[in-house]
Amino acid sequence: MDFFQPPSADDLLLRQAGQGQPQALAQLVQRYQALAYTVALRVVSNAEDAEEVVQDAFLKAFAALGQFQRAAKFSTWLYRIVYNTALTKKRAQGRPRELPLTPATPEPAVTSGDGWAAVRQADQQKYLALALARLPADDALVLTLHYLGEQSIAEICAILGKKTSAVKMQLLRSRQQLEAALLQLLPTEHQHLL
Amino acid sequence: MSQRPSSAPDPLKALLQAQGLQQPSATFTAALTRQVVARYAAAPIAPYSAGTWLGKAILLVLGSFLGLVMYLLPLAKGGVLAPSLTAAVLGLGGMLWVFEHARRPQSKLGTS
Repeated sequence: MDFFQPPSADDLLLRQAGQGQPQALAQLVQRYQALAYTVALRVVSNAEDAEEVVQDAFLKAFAALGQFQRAAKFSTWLYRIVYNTALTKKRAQGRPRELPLTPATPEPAVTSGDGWAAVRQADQQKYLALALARLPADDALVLTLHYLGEQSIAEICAILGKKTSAVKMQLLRSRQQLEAALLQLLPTEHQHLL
Repeated sequence: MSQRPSSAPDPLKALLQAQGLQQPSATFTAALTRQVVARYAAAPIAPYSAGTWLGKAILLVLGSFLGLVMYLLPLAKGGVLAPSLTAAVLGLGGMLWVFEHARRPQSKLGTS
């Protein structure tokens, strides 16, 4: 940690959590559970198993907090634990489960009184979820981490345990695959989306 | 080097971000938060009530003895005993104060 840099919000939360403050512990869970769950879901493809993975990962992370190297971000370290726990779970399942035909999508937030806009947004989300489900799990995961989780290439390398060149290649390939999947699902509307 | 997603408008990124992250059920989130807090929040300090009371009793006896010595013994004899008694009273009082005020809760994080 840089001596001259003020402690980040994460550092403060971790320090308070280290002192056993319940609010800090709850805040850490709240802050990271959504991306942790999405990462787990991309790997195990099942909501119930994903929740189990997230629970295991959080408990493992807090139990091993003493081993956390402050050189990395807490989130990166936590997501790596989530990813490894999810992989273990998937291997334990043996055969990969079939993906649901209509993947769960979050309910779109209607921000205006325009009903058609809400319908269009819901449709977009539905087709995007379908397109993501067509991608190999690892590729969808890289897209999720980079674009939704705002994780840098270096952070994704640390989470997935891969080299920079491999992650860059995978990211490029995943983008192309997602675009192709969207084109296949929405041949005419595709150009308006991307 | 570490590369952040670029700030230039990227339709694919915008589309993905519009979809948002998947959320676990509210029941699950609440249960997980409760479990983490129950397991890793510091237990409230259990005061050493027996020890504190014993210490206070000893302090009272020593204090009274110091008062008696100062009051009853002549200055020449009392002057020899008074400093050690004062030191004992102050030392014990200080120790009790530290026990009551300066102990921090012990977190259970990272201990298993």
